[in-house]
Amino acid sequence: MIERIKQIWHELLSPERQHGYGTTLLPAVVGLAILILLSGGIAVMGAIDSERSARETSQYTTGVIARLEKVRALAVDVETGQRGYLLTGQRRFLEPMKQSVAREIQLLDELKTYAYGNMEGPQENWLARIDRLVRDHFEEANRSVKLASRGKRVEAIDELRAGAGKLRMDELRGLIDRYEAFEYDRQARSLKAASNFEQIGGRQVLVVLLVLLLLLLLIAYLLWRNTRLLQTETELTETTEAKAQVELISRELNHRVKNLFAVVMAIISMTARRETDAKIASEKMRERVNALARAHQLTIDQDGGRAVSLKSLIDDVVAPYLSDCQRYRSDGPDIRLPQRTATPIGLALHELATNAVKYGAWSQGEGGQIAACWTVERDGDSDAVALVWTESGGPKVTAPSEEAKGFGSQLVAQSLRQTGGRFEGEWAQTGLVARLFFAVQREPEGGFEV
Amino acid sequence: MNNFTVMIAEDEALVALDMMESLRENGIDVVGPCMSLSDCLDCIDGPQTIDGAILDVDLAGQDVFPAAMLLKARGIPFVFHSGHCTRANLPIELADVRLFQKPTTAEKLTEGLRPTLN
Repeated sequence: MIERIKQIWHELLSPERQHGYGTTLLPAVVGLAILILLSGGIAVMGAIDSERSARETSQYTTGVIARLEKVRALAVDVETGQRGYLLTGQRRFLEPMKQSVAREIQLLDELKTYAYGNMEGPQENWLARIDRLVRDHFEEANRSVKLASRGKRVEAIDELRAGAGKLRMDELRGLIDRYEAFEYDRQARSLKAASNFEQIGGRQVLVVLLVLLLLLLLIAYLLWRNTRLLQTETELTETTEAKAQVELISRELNHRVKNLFAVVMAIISMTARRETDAKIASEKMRERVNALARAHQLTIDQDGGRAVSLKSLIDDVVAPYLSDCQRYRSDGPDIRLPQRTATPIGLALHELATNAVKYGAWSQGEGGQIAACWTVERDGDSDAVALVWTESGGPKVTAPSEEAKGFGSQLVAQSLRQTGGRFEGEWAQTGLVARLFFAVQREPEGGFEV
Repeated sequence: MNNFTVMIAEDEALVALDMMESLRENGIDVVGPCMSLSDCLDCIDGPQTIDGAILDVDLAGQDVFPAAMLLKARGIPFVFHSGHCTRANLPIELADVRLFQKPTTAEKLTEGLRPTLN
């Protein structure tokens, strides 16, 4: 049984079911508490009622007993008056005697009225008997007084001596005693009942208070618990979201790393295919992988790996080849390239820069200058970028033949294709003018697509 | 292996270039590289006959699967080459196509194609 209750309790308050039961448990408990309060109220009313009835009984008993005692005392007065007259012959004893009798009868009438409706068992008989005895006593007293007044005093005394009066008095006393004892007993019973009720009522009040206290505690507990559960839920949601975010990032990272490995492998095999000299080959590989690394690093440094500004990309690619005597400038509106565009553009720019150092404006140490300028035009939901790489002040250049177009120019062309753009090379007298056209997806709300 | 033509769908310029050169070294003609899905579809419907294809699954954010279905419908053999696609991501109709994880050398990919080419 206790196990079962424990089980139910656990089910009611278990966290998984809290939301299901929390709303039904509370009204149930409140309903139960109201029932207990009602029963407590009824018990207290009962206690008050029984106390009132005990008080009434008590008053009634006092009234009955006071009158009975008076009757007893008056009976003695009547006896005294009778004997006084018989012994002394003085009439002054008669007046109190008569008065006592009148008062006695009046009292008994009063008692009958008073006790009417409150009679139970033998009381009515007793009262009738007492009434009879009092009247007999009066008649007997009257008779003996009349005898005495007619001069037959001795006869009257003899009659008194015969003892009928004493017997009557004894019976009266006995009856009154019994009547009183009966009333006392009734009072005692009623008081006891009242005190019992009072005890029960008192206990009930205690129980009610206890239940109220428990109810308040339970409500407080449930409120606290709900708050806690809500908190835990919020924390859980946050953790889940954070986890999902981490998973997303790690997936993207994994994708990028695999892609980078593929690109590095391509750089190695393509460079190796062209260079027979191991030293030159490794030098070129290092430069190209380094350019890749720098483009990648830029996207990591800016905007949490999502985008990079075009100016910082160009400046960073060119930076390793700059020296005091070489002139360089880059200029154009601010535009940010997503990672998938930044890497190929970075590699293309790297090829242009190394080409300039090898054959172009920066190949002679002094006087050569490079200007990288771009314009941005809005084209639907993307930005069209036109970047012009202008070399000047270098040696005279000619367009390479189709066969001579090396890996560099292929790489530049394919890199631009990768971004959905194109490359145009113009080998002018003054130097190479390279035009790079590519599109940048306009940043949607919430950042670049991964 | 005379005059076999392989189409390359690859959106990473360097990887595409390397693959083209490797295939050419092995005496295989190359079409592409196709860097987007529309490039791919144009190539398949182009004037050049295609005998096989190496397809990167993700082309600039687009799945290559429509092109793969077209190749399958025409009975042209092909393999997938992907950085992050697993077999579970392939559509049911393409579940039996060979899938190579990036990076895989052009030679391996060609070997993967060879049995189907023959």
